[in-house]
Amino acid sequence: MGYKAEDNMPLAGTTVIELSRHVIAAAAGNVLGYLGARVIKVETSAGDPYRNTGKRYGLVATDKENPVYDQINDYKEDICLNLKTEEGKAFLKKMLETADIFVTNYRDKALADMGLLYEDVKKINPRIVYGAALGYGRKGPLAGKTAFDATAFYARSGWASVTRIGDGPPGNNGAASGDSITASYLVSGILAGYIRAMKTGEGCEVNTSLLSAGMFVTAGATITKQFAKQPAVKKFVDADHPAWIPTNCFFPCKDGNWYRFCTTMVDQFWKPLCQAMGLEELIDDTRYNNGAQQYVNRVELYAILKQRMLTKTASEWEEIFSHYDMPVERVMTPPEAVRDEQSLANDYSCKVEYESRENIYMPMVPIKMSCMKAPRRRRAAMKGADTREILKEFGTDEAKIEKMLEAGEASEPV
Amino acid sequence: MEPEIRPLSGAVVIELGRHVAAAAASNMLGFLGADVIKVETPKGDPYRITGRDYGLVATASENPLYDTLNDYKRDICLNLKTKAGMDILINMLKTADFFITNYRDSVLEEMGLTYEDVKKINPRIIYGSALGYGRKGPDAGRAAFDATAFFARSGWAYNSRLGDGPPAGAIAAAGDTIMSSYLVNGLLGAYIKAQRTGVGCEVTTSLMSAGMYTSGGGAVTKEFLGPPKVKKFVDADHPNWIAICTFYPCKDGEWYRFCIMVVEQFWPTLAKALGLEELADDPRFNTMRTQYLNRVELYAIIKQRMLTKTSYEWEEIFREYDLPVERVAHPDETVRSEQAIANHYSSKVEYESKENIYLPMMPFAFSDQEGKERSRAPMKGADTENILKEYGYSEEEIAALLKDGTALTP
Repeated sequence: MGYKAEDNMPLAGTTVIELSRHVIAAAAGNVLGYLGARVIKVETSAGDPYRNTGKRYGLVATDKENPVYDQINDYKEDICLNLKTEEGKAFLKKMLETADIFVTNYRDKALADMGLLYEDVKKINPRIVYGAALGYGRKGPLAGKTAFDATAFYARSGWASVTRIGDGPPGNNGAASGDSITASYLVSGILAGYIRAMKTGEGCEVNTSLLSAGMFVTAGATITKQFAKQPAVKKFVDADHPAWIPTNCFFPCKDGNWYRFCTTMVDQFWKPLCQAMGLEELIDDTRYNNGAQQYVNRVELYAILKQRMLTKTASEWEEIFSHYDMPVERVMTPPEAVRDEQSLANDYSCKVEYESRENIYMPMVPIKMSCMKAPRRRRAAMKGADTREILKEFGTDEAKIEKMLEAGEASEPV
Repeated sequence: MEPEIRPLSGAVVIELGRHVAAAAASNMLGFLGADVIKVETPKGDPYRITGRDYGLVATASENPLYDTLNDYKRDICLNLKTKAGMDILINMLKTADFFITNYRDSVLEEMGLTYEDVKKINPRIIYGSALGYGRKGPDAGRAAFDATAFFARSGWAYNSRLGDGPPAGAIAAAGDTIMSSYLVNGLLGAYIKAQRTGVGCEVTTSLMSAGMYTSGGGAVTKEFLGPPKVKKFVDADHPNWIAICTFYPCKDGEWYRFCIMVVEQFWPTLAKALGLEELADDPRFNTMRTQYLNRVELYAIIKQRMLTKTSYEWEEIFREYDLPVERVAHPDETVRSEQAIANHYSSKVEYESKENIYLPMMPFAFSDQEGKERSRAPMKGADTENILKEYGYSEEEIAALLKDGTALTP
């Protein structure tokens, strides 16, 4: 069965219709569902292709058990309609008549073919807030180009170029991480549009794009590169030759794990860092105890710190550093992060029951509100799980429901 | 003429922040039409100095890094160590719709500005807190930066590694910026609820939580699969997965990102674009399975081709095809690119010390309203006098407050 929110959530009383494939619009719909909106996800007969993505990663991905799919679809109901049929399309439009929000990442061409562009939907319901997730935007030479977060969000924006290690390739990024981030901005836009509709009675379209969001979060680097003079130093070629001060770097530990230092505020952190690392003799060493000299002598200092770090495992260092309030952090793997004490204490992750694996944790939506009990992560609805109920709710009589199911105009789980 | 109604027209936001997190959230609300009053103490927001660390101009009047997060606001400067200064702030909170802060809890307690305190002053207010590691657990209240709490802690940094090498660095303040987006979503949700119930609430997010949530599908993958069975590769020439979903070097030292995840869909087209048509049907490479098995071989072949042209030449060639491949652009190129300008994804801002500077726009746009352009942020205390006047202080009172240093102007 699909998700049902508790009473009196922030978005109680709001209905969202989601028409999505893969991540970006689904992630936005899921945040709205988390905040208490009723999200009705419309899947086509073939289903959301994201139900198959887990297989590519070697995970269980069946109708019933699909953790990758669950990550962005658990706070929703699910109706399955054949949008190639007139009846299927008609029912979707019927739901739009009274919906508050519509969110989609279908391409404009597909939406036009179905009569579901904003101009069309506005006529059905002038109050609706129509949220569209784009790739590169609707204009310009790349309008409509196939977009993934790896390309449009990370590569195009400049993010990837700034996260290189010397002359090597840029670092990787978590699958669909750029989609999630972009989706969050779409949610902001949708909620803002909804607030304005509350005031004026008129809806609007709001859109975001992978490119736009990628550029926005890269702003720090964007502005730096525009203003900075030509780089004075030769670019470094590996981690042993840091581009900046070593107290803002990654270090390898004895067990092959890494540690991140962000202790650039030398006045505050150099002394405790030296104490923690057993390098007290460097506290007053003028070659290293101020920012300017840390930069000049960075290769030497990196070597000293690295040598120390390599004498212990990351966990051993974590124990030592826990006695000091310093911004240093073990580079954790995602599974460690979600079952870590800190996370559980703050309800930043929770357990989800699966059949095929025990002890699975997922991160919670990172929004907590004193007026709302944060709903648990759960398993997403199966394709068409709520088809019958929803058809009935919108006034379809029993006979018609049976007919539609039989004709394949709507579907429910087998 | 009727003033244009923006989503948050009429709402007032009071911001009490340092560095990025609170500032980024309130800047978004300002973009949405709220009147954002940023409260600075006499020392000023330390983020006004951060630009210097990056070799940028960072003066009282010219501060591009500071502008990226503070341009949709007004600015008042108050000495909050004095009773008179605090009284002014409390007075503003009585009628504000939002209060946003990333001051540490211990400091807010001392100042009498926790949610419990502010709720008593104004039960309708929506109180936004940007935390580091959260309020509970062994790391509660610990010094947090996005490099550590958002990127390292969450699995982001781990995901960015190529083989056994170090993780890739992250963009300055990117984690804070991403986190603040979720804070805004919570704040807007709370605002909607408050319209219904007349009661506000506190909204929190944290660097750690936001980092975990956005670190990507990898989180649940590793949950299910455990540690990888295949030996991790040691360098880019030995990709972990198929060779057409990774980075390639070009002749000019720049890189290209291929993101083809379904071989059958794009391989023939890619082979053609690369001038490797003869490989389109090659059984070594024309299915997912064989591409995976022969990835090292294929990487070498494609790499050799890619190194024969510059990244710009390849961009020209790939333009003829709709392929999910992308030049790894420099951020300053993108922000002034035709694509960005055509879609109003960036905005030109005038500076004295450098010409032709662009800032990215907020990444959402409304169909019926142009977004407000980016601009220069206000100087510290630029609006002190006006704001005091708006809140009912007389000329004499204002003069006295300025004289004794309770309130400051630039």
